Amino acid sequence: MAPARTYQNKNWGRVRGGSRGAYISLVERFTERSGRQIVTVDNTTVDVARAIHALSSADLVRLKALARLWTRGQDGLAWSDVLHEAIARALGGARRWPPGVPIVAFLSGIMRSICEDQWRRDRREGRVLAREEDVAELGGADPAADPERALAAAQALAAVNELFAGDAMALKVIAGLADGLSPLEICRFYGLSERDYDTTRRRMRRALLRRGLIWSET
Amino acid sequence: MSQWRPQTDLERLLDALAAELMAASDDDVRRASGPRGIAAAADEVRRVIDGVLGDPAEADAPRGVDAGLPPVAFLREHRARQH
Repeated sequence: MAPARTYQNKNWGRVRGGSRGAYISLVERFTERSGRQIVTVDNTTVDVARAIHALSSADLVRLKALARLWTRGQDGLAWSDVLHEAIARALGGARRWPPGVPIVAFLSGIMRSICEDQWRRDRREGRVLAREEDVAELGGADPAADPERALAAAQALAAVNELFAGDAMALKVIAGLADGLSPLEICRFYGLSERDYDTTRRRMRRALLRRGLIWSET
Repeated sequence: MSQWRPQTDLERLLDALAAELMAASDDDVRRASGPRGIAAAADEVRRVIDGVLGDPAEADAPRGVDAGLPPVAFLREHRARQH
């Protein structure tokens, strides 16, 4: 029947692929219709591939900055490897693309998950070890918490603070975000106007983007 | 008084910063990166994407369909037969 095939062919016409992209195999199936072989592909997977290829240069910069953000402090885990794996998982169907979620946000969520898994793996395999004196320096940190993880998190927080060291307002916003405060609560608690808050966030975004482009690989 | 849990703070902060990056306007990206920075970063990311999906430039060569080929190559060749 022509209508269904016409619709699918529109999708195929926009899918680009090479021999290394074996990740679509999970959602392909073969059917016989009127004695002729037809290939059908899960529309979600096709949509993911199409959306990735349609990303603008600015989206690609955002994607790289996000990959760098999630992999910061992860020794041996390059941003490009994490992004590669995230795309593979999205295409392979391991993670479904929820309706209404932008593709960049979807991929960012997968990268976050990959980095979290990597952290757990490193810890299981003993690649993450904290020195006693470093853990002791944490002072008020929850003693029930994993000391290695607490130390790494404290160091990562310090690194983010350092990024905004020259910007007192950004440091206030950072502290508020880390405490889980809403924008309104941050403004009230730190005495910021709505305008201050918005301009600070804009400075922070640009600093993060710049950092995303120049952060070292490790 | 509750104990400090830096990992919880970090998770909240990274989620918030990721949201900021996603909310950055194209103008923010241009101002932060400059034309050369955008082009270079975009090229790097495209190379990563091509590493998964394949090089789009290779996608148009018509050949016969071979079901034994890797799936994406098969898909591409089937598409070529439709034209």
